[in-house]
Amino acid sequence: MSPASRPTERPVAELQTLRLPMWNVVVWNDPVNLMSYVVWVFRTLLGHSREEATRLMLEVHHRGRAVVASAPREHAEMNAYRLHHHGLWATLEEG
Amino acid sequence: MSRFTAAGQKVLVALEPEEVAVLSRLPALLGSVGAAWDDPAQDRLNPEAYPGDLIASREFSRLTEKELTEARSADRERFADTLHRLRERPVLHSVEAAAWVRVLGEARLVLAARHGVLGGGPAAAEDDPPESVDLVELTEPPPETDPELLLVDYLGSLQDDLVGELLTGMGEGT
Repeated sequence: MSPASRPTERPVAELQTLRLPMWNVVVWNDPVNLMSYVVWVFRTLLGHSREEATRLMLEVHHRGRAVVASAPREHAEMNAYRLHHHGLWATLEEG
Repeated sequence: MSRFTAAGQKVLVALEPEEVAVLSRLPALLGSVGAAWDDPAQDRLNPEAYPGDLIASREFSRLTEKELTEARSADRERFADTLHRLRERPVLHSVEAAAWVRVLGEARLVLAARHGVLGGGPAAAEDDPPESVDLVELTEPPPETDPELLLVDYLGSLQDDLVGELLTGMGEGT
């Protein structure tokens, strides 16, 4: 490797130590939204597979909440906003 | 005949005139959210993003409120427009069907919240086992006798049918 290429290695290593903190998007149980609708939202909005979307919906239903996505804060807030647009009770917490 | 039938990227709609009349009330219902200062539907549709952190929650609301209001308004307009032309063109494209699903769900939340069905969320998870949160258990008198809660059930059956067809269109059965 030539000396000229070395400076590009440092930022990569530094970036690895400067990883952005992750935030969890939590969806809470509620007595109105339908199970089928929640699965559809998880499928279309978050891109979960049918199996994962169903598993998360059941976790919300039985345990009261589920972490449905994790991302850097700005991205997590966008997901929470989109879930609110779909009427789901979504909150954010540091991962 | 089913009320919704998936056909590729479209959904065919077959609603009775009485059903269309009922649904035509929904845009006005949703447009009324927040008109009264103590409207419980307002809080239900806009939950705190950061429970226990009022400052962060307010900042989140400040950043998203305008866009969220506009998105909901666009859904209502799309719903009203497509409902109005159902007799001539009983078809929903995927974007229109998604707006229908959201409007039906939002209307259910608004009606339920205004009838005291406010369980769920972080507070309910702390107070009660989630299995105890149930629409039928929380309503008094029983929902079968309350026209507005009957409407919640009816809109739920419509939403469930439409979601089932959309999932079918995604390549999976219900």
